[in-house]
Amino acid sequence: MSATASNVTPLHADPLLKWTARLAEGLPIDWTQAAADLSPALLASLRQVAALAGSFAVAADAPQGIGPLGVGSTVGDLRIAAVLGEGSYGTVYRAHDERLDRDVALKVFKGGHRQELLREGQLLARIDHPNVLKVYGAVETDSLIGFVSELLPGESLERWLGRQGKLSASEITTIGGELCAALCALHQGNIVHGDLKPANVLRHRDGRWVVADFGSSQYANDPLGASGTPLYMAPERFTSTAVTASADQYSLGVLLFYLAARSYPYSAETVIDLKAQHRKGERRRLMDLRPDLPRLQIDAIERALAVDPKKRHSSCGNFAAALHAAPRHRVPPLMAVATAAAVVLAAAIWWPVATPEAHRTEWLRTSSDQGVEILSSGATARVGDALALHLTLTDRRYVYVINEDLAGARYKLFPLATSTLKNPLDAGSYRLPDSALDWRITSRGGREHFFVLLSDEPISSEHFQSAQQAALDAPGEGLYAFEPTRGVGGLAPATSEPDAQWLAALKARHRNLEVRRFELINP
Amino acid sequence: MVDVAQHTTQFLLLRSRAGDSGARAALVARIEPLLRRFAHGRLPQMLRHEQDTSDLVQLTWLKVLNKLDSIDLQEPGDFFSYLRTVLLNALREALRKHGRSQVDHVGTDAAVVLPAENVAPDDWLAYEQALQAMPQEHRTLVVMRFEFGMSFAEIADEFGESADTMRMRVNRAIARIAAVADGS
Repeated sequence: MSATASNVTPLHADPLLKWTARLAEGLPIDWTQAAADLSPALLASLRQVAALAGSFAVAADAPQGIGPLGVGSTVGDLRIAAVLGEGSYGTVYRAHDERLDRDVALKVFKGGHRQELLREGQLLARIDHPNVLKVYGAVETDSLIGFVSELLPGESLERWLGRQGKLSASEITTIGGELCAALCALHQGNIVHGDLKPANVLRHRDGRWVVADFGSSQYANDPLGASGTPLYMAPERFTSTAVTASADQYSLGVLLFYLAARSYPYSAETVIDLKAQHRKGERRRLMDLRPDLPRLQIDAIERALAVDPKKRHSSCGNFAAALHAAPRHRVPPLMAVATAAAVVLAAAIWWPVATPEAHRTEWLRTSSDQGVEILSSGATARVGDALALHLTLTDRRYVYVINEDLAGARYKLFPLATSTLKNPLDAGSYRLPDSALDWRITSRGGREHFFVLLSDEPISSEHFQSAQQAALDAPGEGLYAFEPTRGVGGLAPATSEPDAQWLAALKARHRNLEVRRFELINP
Repeated sequence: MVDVAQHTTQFLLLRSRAGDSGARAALVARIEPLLRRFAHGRLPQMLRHEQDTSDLVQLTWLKVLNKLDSIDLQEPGDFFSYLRTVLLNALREALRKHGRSQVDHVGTDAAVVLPAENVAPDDWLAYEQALQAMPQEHRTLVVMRFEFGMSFAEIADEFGESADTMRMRVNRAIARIAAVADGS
């Protein structure tokens, strides 16, 4: 497809022009819809242009020099390099730790109780979780107190959201699941975040969602007073009673409601109105705003929004489980009936049937600069990075990992002849291809799919059709290269597109086959 | 009613060349905010302080005003392409002084300076290459809209067209850059 100056095509008759018109206006793009209109390559180009357009706006809008510390000044071992942002609780700086020779973020608080902040900094420093901003510790001088944390390359969820169209059920579950995990880690450390909202969630450049900004954090069961952002605050926080981790769950519910509907459950303009609406239960329902979302997902989010904390999920872990229990896309009602009948039938004949959430898969990336990271939706990877799959099986399975590129060519990444892991794998946790090997990214490429096939019986290689086994690269280095070389730009959850013919045939042949699919997009 | 043409940058440049100090002041007032926005957006975080931005804008202005008589302005918007070139050169010089060269980082001599640190060098290089492969008018429109952050009304003033016409032409330019990046 090409759009040149000489084209006389009416505006928007060309699908590309329809989408670039939104870019020109600075409006968000519904990427799901765009994917339906454009070829994958053109879609990737459009994403690239959109990212650059967004980056100009982001960079130009960034603050230029505010807060109590001047650029070039020092606080302990930290030299202030730039102001990154300013919030209600303080100013965040980019700084360089001259003793450890690393760039860090320094958040200086405007106020607060010095001893409590120091104690909180110590507690946060003990939390080590990929979805929680790593706090290294607290710094204190006569005039200020602040937290030193990792400097995370990326942008806020709020900023990212401004460029997105309607989020899919899958995207909402991915973000919700990662934020639930972050809150679980905080709550386990006896910390309530206290101000969870899109501006306080960061999207790492690798696609990971990270909870940051602990300015409102408190110890669980401490009175929180009136801090926080009212529309995100749990109803019980407007009283003086002690609050629990459930208040964070409520905020996450509001956040996910907002991601899905781009509006809040309550529409009050004053705290008094908001409290009145809490009492009366007058609010928007997600079903009214996003009837296309799976019912289970809507129910999971609505439950987190219960005014009575006792009616919410019993923990953020259970909130995550409820989100993941929902299908990644809505099943049409007629289809749902047919599926339910089929499940009952299957259960009668082939019991036990694997439950969809019984096994866990996580993609890991090792890079020279970032170390080991868990990949999630939208993650990016570069040439030289190494990928591995962390797999937890609840029972014995034959495991196959297949990579399919844009041209439809497939490559068997597991099992490998040289791997120490052999099928079948018993219940337990594994790192694939094995504990000493990775799959290495050797060049850039287009959109690709990864399929993890979990079967209760062996699958013959001939059924993978064009699959070729990944070749051993540089024997002795312990790395495998994809053949042919391929690029990996981002890891996205499974799409709702229909199964390819080979996969449909496999499913027909192996009725208990469970497939985990990931889409890799070159941004 | 004021003639719209008198609001164009070209008009102000011509008057400035003729020694009209008022036109020169109007030119500075018109361009400086756009230049400041452009410069600030290009600076890496470590140099994105108010003083750094001001220095860069000042340096760019000095170079532009010194060459005011020799700037070749054939088409509307040409001045912005020229500004972009001068400013990127000044930025490269500033980065070199700070011992940090984005040009070296992506391994090319092309006029590559990252717009922000959350853009992959390869993506930025692809954008630059696509930009250079486009017709001059398209390149100018993309630069004016995205990089200088100009409104359609501002662009329309420069081209002496309506905002709706420029909206359509900018849209086609963006579609072109996506298509060029795609290789179509």
